[in-house]
Amino acid sequence: MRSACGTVEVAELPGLGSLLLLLAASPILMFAAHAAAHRLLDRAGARPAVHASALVALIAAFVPVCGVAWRLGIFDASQGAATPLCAFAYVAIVYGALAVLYVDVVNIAETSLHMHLLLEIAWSGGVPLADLLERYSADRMIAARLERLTSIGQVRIANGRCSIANRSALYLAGAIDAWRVVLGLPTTPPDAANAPAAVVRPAR
Amino acid sequence: MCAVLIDALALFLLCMALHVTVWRIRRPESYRAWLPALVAICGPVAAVIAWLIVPAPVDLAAVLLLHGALAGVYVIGYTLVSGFSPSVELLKLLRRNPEGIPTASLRLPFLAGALTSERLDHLTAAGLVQQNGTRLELGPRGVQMTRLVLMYRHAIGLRDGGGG
Repeated sequence: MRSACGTVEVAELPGLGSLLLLLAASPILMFAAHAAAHRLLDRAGARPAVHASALVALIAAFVPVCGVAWRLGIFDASQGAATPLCAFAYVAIVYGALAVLYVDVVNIAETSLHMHLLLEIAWSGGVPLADLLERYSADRMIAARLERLTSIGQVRIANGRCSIANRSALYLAGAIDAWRVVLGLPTTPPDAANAPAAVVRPAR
Repeated sequence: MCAVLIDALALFLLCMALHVTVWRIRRPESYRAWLPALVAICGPVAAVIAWLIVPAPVDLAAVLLLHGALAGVYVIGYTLVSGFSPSVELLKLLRRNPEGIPTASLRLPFLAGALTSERLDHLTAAGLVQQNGTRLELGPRGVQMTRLVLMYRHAIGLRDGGGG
């Protein structure tokens, strides 16, 4: 049986409906801000990576969202300090989650293997199968990943040797492994577990 | 507002508890099994629970928006849990070798045959690509999908030929 204790809450927050519409529409704002930020950074000669311009845009678009929420009276402190704090936490969590979903769209358009394969075919009007298999070989994929990890400061390359430069991504990987254990999933790829000697190939 | 926040977070945590329980009883192995299972838990099941505990329509919408946003992130991010990212495995490999590894020697065994003919068969079966002699061309669905993604890329200001 449904309770009726939430009715008072609605009367106390007349701007909540407008806030929900604002948050639900915020991905459009993120997209517009991203298009503007990428072009502005490009014209300024920064040659931004798409993820860097997305990060700038997502942070910039959060400011007007908070401003409109404030104008709607969502952060009104007249009912105690907890209400505006909860309201800000609500806005920040929903906006943050939608921002992560937006970054997923960026990933599909920029870094997804399958999508990039389709785009390569679209750009060239058709690709010889042998070229494609060579272009997406494991060596090429590792080289592309290494370049990206180096550019974001996770890996350093010195004297032809690469090593860990920053452990932040590894902490995140540790959290994912912990969740895998909770779900009963393996924490290492099957091939890596079966072939430890093959992990490092002799240098050419 | 605090009640909405607590209800929404509690709903999400309840769905995660249900997810763990289901996975512990019978873990879905393939993408075709885990995706519908997660969508069912975080979608209809969560909506019914929310409808039972939150009576006011606006509050219910607020609870479902927060839960839905978090659940969307989780369902999409679950590919990171169920699969293995080459970048993360590369970092783990480097962590196991603190003295560093010669760049030319790096290898991830699970990446062998990353783009195998099996994967291309899946893309062909989905109508995304089609083989024309020795060349690979876009299939009808592939044309539609690339058109959509290219519209997005051009709107952002990305140049053709980049990414990957």
